[in-house]
Amino acid sequence: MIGGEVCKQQLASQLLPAEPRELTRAEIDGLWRIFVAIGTMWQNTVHDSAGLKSSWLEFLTSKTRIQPSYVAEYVNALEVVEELIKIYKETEAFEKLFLDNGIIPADSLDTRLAHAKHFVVDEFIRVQIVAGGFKNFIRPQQNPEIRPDNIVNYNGFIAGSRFNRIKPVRPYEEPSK
Amino acid sequence: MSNDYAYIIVGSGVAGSTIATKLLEKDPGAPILMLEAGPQIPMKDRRYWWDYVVNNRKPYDQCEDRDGDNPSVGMTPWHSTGSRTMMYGGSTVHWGGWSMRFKPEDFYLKSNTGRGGDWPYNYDTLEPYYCRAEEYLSVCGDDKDSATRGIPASAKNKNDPWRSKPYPLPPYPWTESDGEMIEAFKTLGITPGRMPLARYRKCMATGTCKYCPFGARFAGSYILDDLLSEPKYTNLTFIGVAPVTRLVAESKSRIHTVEYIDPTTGETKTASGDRIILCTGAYEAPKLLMLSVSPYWENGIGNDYDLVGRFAISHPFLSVAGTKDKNEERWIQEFDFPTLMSRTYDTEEYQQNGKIFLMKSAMFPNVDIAKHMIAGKDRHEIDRIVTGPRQVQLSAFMEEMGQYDNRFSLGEGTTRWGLPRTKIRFAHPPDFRKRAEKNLDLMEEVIRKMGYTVDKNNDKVIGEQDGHHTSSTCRMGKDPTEGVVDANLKVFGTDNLYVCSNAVHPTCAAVNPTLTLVAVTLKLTDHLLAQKP
Amino acid sequence: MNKKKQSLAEMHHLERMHPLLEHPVEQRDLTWLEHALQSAVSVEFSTIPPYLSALWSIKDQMHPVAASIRNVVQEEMLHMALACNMLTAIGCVPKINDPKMVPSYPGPIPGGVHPELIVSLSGLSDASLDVFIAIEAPSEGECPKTPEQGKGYKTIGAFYHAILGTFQTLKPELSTERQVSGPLAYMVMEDLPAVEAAIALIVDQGEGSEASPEVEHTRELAHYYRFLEVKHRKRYSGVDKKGRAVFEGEPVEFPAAWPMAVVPPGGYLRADVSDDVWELINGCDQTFTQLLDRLQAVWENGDQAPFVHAIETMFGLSKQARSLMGIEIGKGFGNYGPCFRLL
Repeated sequence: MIGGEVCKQQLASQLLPAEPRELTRAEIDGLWRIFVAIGTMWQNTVHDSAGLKSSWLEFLTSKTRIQPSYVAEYVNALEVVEELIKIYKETEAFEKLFLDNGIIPADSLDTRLAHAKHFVVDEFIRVQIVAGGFKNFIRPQQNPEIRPDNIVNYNGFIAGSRFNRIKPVRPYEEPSK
Repeated sequence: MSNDYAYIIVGSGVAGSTIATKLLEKDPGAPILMLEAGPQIPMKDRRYWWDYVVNNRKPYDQCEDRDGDNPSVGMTPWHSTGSRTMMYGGSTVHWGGWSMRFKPEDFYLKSNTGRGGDWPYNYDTLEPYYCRAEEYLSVCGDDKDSATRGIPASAKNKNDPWRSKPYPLPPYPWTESDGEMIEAFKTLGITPGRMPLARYRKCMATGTCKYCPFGARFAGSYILDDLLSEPKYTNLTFIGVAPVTRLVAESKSRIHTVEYIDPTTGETKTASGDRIILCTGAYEAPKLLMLSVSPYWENGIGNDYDLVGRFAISHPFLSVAGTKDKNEERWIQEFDFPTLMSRTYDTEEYQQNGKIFLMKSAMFPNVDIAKHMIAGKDRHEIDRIVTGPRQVQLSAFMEEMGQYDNRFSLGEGTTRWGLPRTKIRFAHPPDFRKRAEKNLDLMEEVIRKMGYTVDKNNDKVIGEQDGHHTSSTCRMGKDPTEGVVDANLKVFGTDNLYVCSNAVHPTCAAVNPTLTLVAVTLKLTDHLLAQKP
Repeated sequence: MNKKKQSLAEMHHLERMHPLLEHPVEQRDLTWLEHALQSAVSVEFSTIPPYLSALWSIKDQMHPVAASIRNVVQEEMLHMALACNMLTAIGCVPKINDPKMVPSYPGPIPGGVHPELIVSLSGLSDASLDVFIAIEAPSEGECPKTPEQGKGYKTIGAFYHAILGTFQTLKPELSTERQVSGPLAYMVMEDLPAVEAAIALIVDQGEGSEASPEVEHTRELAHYYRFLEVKHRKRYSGVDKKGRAVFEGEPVEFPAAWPMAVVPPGGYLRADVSDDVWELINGCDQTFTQLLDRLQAVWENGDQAPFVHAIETMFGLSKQARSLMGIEIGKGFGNYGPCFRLL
């Protein structure tokens, strides 16, 4: 298992209980660093994920201002990442965090590392994909965030009104006779 | 008026909400009581939406049946979990919104095949109500794919039966990944059609229809919200988490009183109404009638001929999948519903064998990119998966004919909603498998024509029977020897008790029943409004 | 991409458009940029209520003319959103639900743009089409393509060029905090190239000046010509020897529309209308206010949630407005319509 004392510390599998509150500037910046690292790892964003930030911020707000609150999980994740970066340096730390852990079953989340991976990293990955990160896997040759006619959709992505001139999905084109 | 209310409506799904809406439009001061057994779940909530998108948890999952709520005792197991939602707004809160009309032959199933039932009226009678239902649900469909009156749809390679009014909104387009199947359909003489869907103009193609952040997919809860926020409707009373446990007959023909559990005290309370309408879906209506035993109705209200709960049908779900080596186009799921369908095998010619309604599954091809990232695959590996083997699936609903012995009745004990469990006795007829396999052969032809490989062991599937489109448990009939309700949905032998749900449909055709239910509901409201108070 | 052409009147009067353009280039600082971008937000926004009134008065919302106007509205909203992102990028908060920024109707477009035009809220008609045509009209004669060429001529395009020039000179630090991306604002201003691309998009789609009825690389007509097709009731069929557009093509149907009357100055008052009508009018104002409040919250917090709610609010407003448009004021007076008042 990667990491040191912090990562390996034992925890119960359930979501860490926490009161809802606003995250601090430092906490948001630290979590954003994790989110940006996802785009870097899978090379599927431009402008360091800037185009996905408003979606991510909304997600973060919804997870911390009401119950069940993720505040404790986010604080935990920041400390886990901090330790990993101390041990491995930043690039390798995120690589290990993202690639070395796999899908951890919900009843096996018994370390701080497992919590960070499951409750924070995995969910950030889903947000990243749904908010627009999927585009680069489907149209890798195009700049997905600048070209408005990059038509492709994904469940969870707000593609836009179906009555727009630019259609929200790749439409079937009748073959010319 | 000596009763508390002019109408008591049991159940707040699309049928109950629609009846209340139409009655109140005509008479805003009408005293109406609506009783709903389930809770209200907030819609369009941002946290709930993110939990759905990220963790696949819908806030109304708690309103589904649990294992054990509906024991299946017949030869063919019947699975109920996930088929319906017991809640404010009913099962249209979780439905896909696929909105097809039944066809003319569907009203004569028994006459045509000797099986199932006949409706007491025909398609032409219901047609104007279909138009109103499509307007009401905001159905997006293809006018050009409709037959002409007097000429069967099949004669002109049209998918839809004739219509007197256009669809309210244009159809959703076929997607690029529909193309292979469209071409295969055409080669095989199958007419490709566009799936008619109940979506308002505010659809933003988010692909999370089951909990739409904009409320673009029709749901009964929105109708209820409008009703309950209208200040003019001063005599409308809504009580949620209030299961109705019995109907009380004053005499053989007069049923004026309902007993229900008060949500705040847990005590049984009563309310009386001039007319009582059971909009409780196909599971609950027969049980409530059976429970309501009295000296006037020894076997339960409307059950003198022992037909309540019988002829239960749903739709066997058939599917054939195929695989190709490559997905260079990088096709993934883009809409949260099928856009390509066909009713070429949903015609009179196929009634004897069991019609099928074909749809290209929206879930294939697809790659769950996030899942692979979570599993720790790097970019190259995921690129290989995205461009790697591609699966496609053709699915079908198969028409089912009601059988006398297939019955919903009272199970032991109650569920967490305070309603009795449902005992489901169901068995396919002996020739079902042979007929289903014949249909699967037709479907396999399509997948092969597309150039996909079909793994016979894994890919040709007759799905397990489930309760999504359960119908006919209190079916319409010409007289009480054939059905539980008459053409106006009034329970035979009563003056003022009605059933309005999929329970009343004598057949379920090969398509989703909700559009037909709304048409039938609008017909009922016209009937109620035409009656003297 | 659609192009909006600059009117001659606009070119002559644009020195009155904004004192900002009179400001010496070398003195244009961040404060200048803030005011200029806020002006841009207001100008883009000001055309939306009149366009929406015309759009929603069309009975069949699927009519091609309705689709055309809806497209224009969406592009104006996109321009407004991009301008809001630019403002946010330099650390300012766009003012959307500020009473000083919300125009009143009938009235001129804010900032001195098109001072000869009085824009009203009314249903689609030849009169309202004339106003839209004037807004979209191309310049006649020579069109300056660059700010240097256009010295002395100050077009809307030149205005955006001035904004761009100031970005390029100042190179301010751009923050992505509180910027928003989504279906109506798909670009985030993270660096100078992003700002350049956004301004190119705005100018190209609506504020540029090229001399062709057809939008580059497409067979779509610019808005101006499409509105003219409706006005002439005939399709564009080419240009004459002098290069002027000719409309002798297939017939174009003028869509059936509710005769929404011009909303009087200040809008309808409580005392002037029945209870039922007031409920709808006030309802529209409340929904419009809620829409602006939600849009304000989007850029104040950089939060997508009010954006999602704002989209749904728009649809709610459409429903209320169209209910209102079906009601006659009195015989010969036309029908009611939304007042787009900030409460």
